[in-house]
Amino acid sequence: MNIIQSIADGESSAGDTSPLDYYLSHWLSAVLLAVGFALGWFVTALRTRAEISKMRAESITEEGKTLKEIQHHRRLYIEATRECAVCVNRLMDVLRSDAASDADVRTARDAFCSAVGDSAIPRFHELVEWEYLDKKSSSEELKIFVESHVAPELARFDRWIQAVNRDEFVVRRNLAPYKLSIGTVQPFLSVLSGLAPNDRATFEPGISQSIASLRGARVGE
Amino acid sequence: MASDWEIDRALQAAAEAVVGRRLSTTELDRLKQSFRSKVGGTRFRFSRAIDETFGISEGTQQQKTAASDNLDRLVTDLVNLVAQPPKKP
Repeated sequence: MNIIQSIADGESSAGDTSPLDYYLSHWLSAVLLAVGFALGWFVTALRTRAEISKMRAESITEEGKTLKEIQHHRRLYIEATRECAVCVNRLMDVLRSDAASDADVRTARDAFCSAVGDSAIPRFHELVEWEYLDKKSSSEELKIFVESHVAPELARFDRWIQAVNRDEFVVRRNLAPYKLSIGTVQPFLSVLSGLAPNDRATFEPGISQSIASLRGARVGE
Repeated sequence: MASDWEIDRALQAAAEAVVGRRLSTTELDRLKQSFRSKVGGTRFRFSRAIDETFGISEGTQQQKTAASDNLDRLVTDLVNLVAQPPKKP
């Protein structure tokens, strides 16, 4: 017998309960179940949204810390570069002085070498590490950073070191060529690891050449 | 909404840490507006919003470039100086 017919005939299929009551109680259960599912879904959606917001808030806090560190290390690098400028001026004053001895030139040159090798370059490397942390998620942004900041600055370091390794210092005044340790310059290569392979191939030769030069090659060698 | 409030609070705290002072209401509103108008990851949007609102990164970047340019110019002077022939006694 079909269900509609049995409801219409008022036949009981479960003891004293009428078929209408029986089917209504099932419908009610189904509706309650659906409401329960909907509520569950809504609560889960709210919870997920709250979790996403929490993660975003944490990302903002982390980025704030990174930006603060970048600012801090940029200022340290600026100070180190200004210190180098003071040392170059002092070296030029010594060279212009008629009374300056070779020992005076050596002292002034050593001060400049120390300012570049022990202060400016390590400060720049710290800055690069923080900038890398900030930009590593975007290879395009990292590429711009390497192209416009890392590679040109390494080329400058090279020029500065080459300047104090010229024959006028090394041959004429018998001063030892200034060389940077591998630990000071090699870490700059790590910034290339975040680049796309073709970008890495573009920048690696220039940066490697600057590093090799900073490690001791002299002008004309 | 509670979740927006959480993000706004994080924006304010992080920006104040970077800038190094408390933000005015106008600055905070500009920061929030700038952050919400950006597309991309949260960190990227925040750093761009900070740059756009305060220009701090650009400012120190210019100082860094200026300091480095100045030293480079001085080193060129040094090279020119040592390249001169020695003075005759």
